[in-house]
Amino acid sequence: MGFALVIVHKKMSMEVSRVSEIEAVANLVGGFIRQDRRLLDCKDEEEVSSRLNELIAILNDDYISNSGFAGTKVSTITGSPLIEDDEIFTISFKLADNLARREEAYHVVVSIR
Amino acid sequence: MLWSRYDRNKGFALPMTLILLTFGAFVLFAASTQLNRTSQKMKNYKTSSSLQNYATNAVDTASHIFLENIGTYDLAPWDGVEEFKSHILTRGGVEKYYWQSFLADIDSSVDCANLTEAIRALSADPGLGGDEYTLEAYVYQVGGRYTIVASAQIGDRKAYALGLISYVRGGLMIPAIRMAAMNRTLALMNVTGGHGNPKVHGDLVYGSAVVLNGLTIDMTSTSTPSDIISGGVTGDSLTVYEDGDELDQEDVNELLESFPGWYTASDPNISSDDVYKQWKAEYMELLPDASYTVVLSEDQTLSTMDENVMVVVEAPNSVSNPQFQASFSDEGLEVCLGNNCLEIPESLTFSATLSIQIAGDTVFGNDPNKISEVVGHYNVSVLGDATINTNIVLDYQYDYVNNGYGNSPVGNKTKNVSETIISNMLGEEKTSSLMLATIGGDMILKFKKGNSTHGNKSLIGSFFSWKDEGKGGDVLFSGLENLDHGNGHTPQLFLFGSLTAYSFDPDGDAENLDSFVAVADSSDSSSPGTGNGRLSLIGIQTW
Repeated sequence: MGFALVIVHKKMSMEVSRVSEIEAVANLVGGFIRQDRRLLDCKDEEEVSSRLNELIAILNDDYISNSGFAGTKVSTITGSPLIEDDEIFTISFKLADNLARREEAYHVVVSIR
Repeated sequence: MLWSRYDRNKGFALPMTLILLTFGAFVLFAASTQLNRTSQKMKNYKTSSSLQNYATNAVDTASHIFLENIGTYDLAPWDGVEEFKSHILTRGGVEKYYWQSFLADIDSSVDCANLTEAIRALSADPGLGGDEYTLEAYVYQVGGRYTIVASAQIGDRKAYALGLISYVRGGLMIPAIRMAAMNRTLALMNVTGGHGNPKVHGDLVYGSAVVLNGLTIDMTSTSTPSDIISGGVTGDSLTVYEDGDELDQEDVNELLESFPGWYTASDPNISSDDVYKQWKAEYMELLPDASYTVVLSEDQTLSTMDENVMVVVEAPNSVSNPQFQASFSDEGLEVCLGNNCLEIPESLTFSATLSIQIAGDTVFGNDPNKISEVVGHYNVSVLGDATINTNIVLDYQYDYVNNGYGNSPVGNKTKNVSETIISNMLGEEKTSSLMLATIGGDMILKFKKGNSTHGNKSLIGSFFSWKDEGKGGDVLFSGLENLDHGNGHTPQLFLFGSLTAYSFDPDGDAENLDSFVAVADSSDSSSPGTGNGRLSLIGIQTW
């Protein structure tokens, strides 16, 4: 029973730690995307896509690790129009947890109107 | 052998092992139980986080749809608004009282546009929760602005988000600051110190800026120059730091190409001194040619005034280097030299602008932590140094600088909150005005440590520091070195109106000024107007 509890304890402990980190990073990245003025100043889907490509590098190279979360990276960011007018986008990003080896998807909506 | 056999406790190892195992099992069980509870809390946190994210997304979506179809909605009251206001009151720290005040104009009897159906039509999108959440959105008109309330619910758990739609002015804008030289790098506003103890650093010019002899800005790779100076800058050069590194000219040009119209190079054929002289000449033309002289040798009260006649306050001939003291209050303006004072009742300036010139160095107010309330319309010029030893606030903006408890709702706020409050300030009906100028003297801004103001200084009006015959024209700072930079506040100069000077902080004393916010007032009739701009979502708050 002791061994079983040790295993459960270790697993749950790691789970709590990883969930905490990935949620914290999701909040950071979500806020970052919402307030990225260069993204909000884009004129169309092509410019949004181009800016999102830049954002991956900015987030992974500096922002996330400088915030103290070196174990998590943004694996993808994509933007798709929420409605047809091409001025409001759902920005979906996946966070890859390198330690727990899993990915979580998050979504923020931004208007470039 | 016999000795060792009989000296041992028989069967000791087994009970001890069992005891240790049982103890260990209990410890692990207790730890696991606690972890389980923590894990449950984490799940709740994750749910709350998702709810807040989708509520925020709903605000963004609703504002977009609303602005696309503005003016086409049927209006009706929403009875859920009281529940929303109660929700806010149960959360947050002291700022909940600010939000309560902000929402005072909205209740269950006020009509609003219901965008719930429009939002739910899109709720299958992953950005709106993939049909797992129940979304609502309502838009209220409050004056010239709009407030959006949205919620996301799953089971019995609910999160609210509030968005503010207001006019964002861009492109050609009224200058908030005009300088020949500015000895300050304007840095992107940011907040350190965390929730509950924020410390605001950086600068925000909400309007345009003219800095003739070159400006330096310090931004990040994810910000834009407009995040520092919303309406663009005119000058002969621009130096840019991005994430701490100075950009070379090629990179600066590339950056500016991305933001057309933000930077305007000044005419190389006109010197900065000539432009400054032109500004000064325009100001001087506002002063009446005729004058009426008051010699402060006894107490006097001004009984009448004429907008076309300037009241000139002088010291008796026997006084050399006079030091005047001036005080604004809700009773009017008082100008004193020693014990002899000139009283100008508020009733005289209620509907006409009083031009008054004080012939000598003048100190305004007697405490940098107090507020001098300007009631009426004044054009004050000082022939010498003007020391601002107070906060100068127009009556209709008073509540933005003092919330009644000694704190300033507008001082030391984050960029989003600042922009929200600024938007409200711009929407106020103008009942008073102030132009305050030095001619041949400097404008000296005095700061002092205080429990409530924390060294913040607020100035509302149009301020000018004119160089004359080689003297004056600077904006100088005094007392900043003694201020606190902690306990939730950082020294800030908040200017609402405009500031024109030959140079800003030439002595470098403002290094201890953590934040400088300058807002161009659209009511400044002496500056080129540009209309109201376009409606846009300017901020979101989530609970």
